[in-house]
Amino acid sequence: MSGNESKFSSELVAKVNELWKRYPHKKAALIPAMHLIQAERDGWFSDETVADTAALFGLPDMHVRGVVGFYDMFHSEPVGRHVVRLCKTLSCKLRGADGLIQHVNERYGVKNGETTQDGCFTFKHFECLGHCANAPMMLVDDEKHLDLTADKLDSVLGGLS
Amino acid sequence: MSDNGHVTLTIDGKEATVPAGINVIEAAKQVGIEVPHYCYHPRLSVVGNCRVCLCEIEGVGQLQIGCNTLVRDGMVVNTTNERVSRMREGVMEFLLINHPLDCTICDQAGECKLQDYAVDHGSGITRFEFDKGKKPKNISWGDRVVFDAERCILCTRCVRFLDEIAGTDEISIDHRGEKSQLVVRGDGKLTSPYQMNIIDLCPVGALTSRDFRFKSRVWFMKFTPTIDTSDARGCNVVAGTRDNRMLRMVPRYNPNVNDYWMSDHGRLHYAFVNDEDRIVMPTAGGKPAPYPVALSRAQAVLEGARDEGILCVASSYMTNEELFALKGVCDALGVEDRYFLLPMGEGDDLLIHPEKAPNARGCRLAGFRDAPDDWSSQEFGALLYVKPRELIELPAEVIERCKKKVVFSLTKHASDVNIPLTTWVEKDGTMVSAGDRVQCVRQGMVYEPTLLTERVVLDRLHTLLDPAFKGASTAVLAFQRMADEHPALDGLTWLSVGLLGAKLNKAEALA
Repeated sequence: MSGNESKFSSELVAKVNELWKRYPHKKAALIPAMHLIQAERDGWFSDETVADTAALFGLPDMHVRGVVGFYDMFHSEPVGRHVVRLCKTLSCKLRGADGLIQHVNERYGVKNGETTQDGCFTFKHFECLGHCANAPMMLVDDEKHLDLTADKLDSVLGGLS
Repeated sequence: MSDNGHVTLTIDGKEATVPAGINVIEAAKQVGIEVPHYCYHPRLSVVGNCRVCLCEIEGVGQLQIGCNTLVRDGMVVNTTNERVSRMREGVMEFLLINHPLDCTICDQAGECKLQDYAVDHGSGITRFEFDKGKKPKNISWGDRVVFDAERCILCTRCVRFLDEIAGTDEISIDHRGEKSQLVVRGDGKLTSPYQMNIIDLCPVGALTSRDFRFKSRVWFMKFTPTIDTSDARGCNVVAGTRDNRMLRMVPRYNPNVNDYWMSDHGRLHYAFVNDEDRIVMPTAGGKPAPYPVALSRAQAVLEGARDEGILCVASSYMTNEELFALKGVCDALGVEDRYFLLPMGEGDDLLIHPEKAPNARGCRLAGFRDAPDDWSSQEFGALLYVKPRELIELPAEVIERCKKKVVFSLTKHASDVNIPLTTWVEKDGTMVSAGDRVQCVRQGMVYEPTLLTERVVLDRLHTLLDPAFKGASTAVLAFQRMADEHPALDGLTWLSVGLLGAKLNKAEALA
């Protein structure tokens, strides 16, 4: 319905069309589609992106806004070129996540939710990412880094551009 | 057992035969049992998020929420047993964990479901020893609604109302868990012309009316069932008054007219009732005059103008009883030019009606004609004018072409005889709303004890003009007299019109 008028790239619209085929209702494909949309729109949902998404799905924009607000994987504020999610749930916490958080705060000058001055990465505390056996761990964009130490963390973050 | 789309079930030992397809809350309501609920509303979609309507369904292991459980034939429901009570107490404890318990400064106190259910179903004590969650308070959602995030229990009734009824989709929930909070689109101000309904829908004190808040505790107020007179829809309302001043209007359920809703315009259309500039005594020749003096002056003015002709202009805010009293005066004087003024405006598909006065149909029923767009340049000996509210007025040049003037008005109006009007919350009467429904207005207050209602004043004037005429002593008797005389009202009584109104018994072209 909104294929021709969509504000998104034709590749993205084609992928969303594929997603729609998998579900009985278009609305059911919202979350996987929103991951694609977020990637195309600089990693976050501006009011405009929310409105465009709502138009693509034929939903009220406030419904999309609610989904963005609910899930931590979606951002309602601009983010850096990379997103670093450091797990702080039980296993990681017991294995030293607090120290790593403090290390990031001091070394890179960013607290939870903040972006480095050069716009390189946005740092986020995160709830359990499911790698308790290799705690502490973090996710940099889609890549996981396990059994972290301060040194290992620095080498990963230092390699980001 | 099941026939004609009905099912029979047992609720708390009472057998009930109810329509198939309704839920347990509605079925229980039909046998007089109230299942507590916050998020459920009969006109909104079921979300089942407050969990307070948990009921036990025999044969089903877990307790089920009454809002999302449809009745089945032979179902046995317990809404009050020990297990249900314990569970409900638990739900109340969770709902109250982060509640600020600021009832003493909360406008909702006295009509708050959180208070009611805490008393009925709560344990009365808290086991929560930690700091309560903090959220923003006193957030402005525009000039009508004020939001308090700490009091909100996230039932989403407001979200669903604006999605499903008003259609503006303006509210959403941001974040999740204990951080969840309602947000409004864009600059955070609501735009719907029906937004104030979310204040009534809100079961707690999270949404309050900027117009009403802190004006009065509800238990000091008097509530009168009447109708909204801002347009021809005649939404059924409850008028809240205190110390003979009008403080608020909220919609009253009427499935034939307004369901559970009303427009903000109607809700806020009452400031003129409390206007300090209202006149409370008639004047004759510009000087204050008791009613008998003013009325004999009016009699002299009108009788003296008979030969030159009299122009009578009624107001579409008058009740039928008043219009028929005015008609009697016109008949006694032989007035031929009888018109009424009707302000027009924008309408919509939901409730807002383009006729911005409640009783144009009543005017037509009483034989008054729609005022012409272009008044003729005819001159009259006298004008008998019932001035409508601020929205419309008789053009000044028409008034000038009448030598003498008898004017009924809310505020001072230069004329030979000026008689105070009363507003619709100060009298009993009937009006004919859109769809030719006869509906009652009821007296909820007295602006000043000195005031007489227009019906009484007009009947007295009628008696002066024709000593054989005797007015009815009450509006109810006036209605009965009118119903006996007029075929469109034949068979209707004050009681059959009642709280929900009744159709005119034959289709007359009144629209």
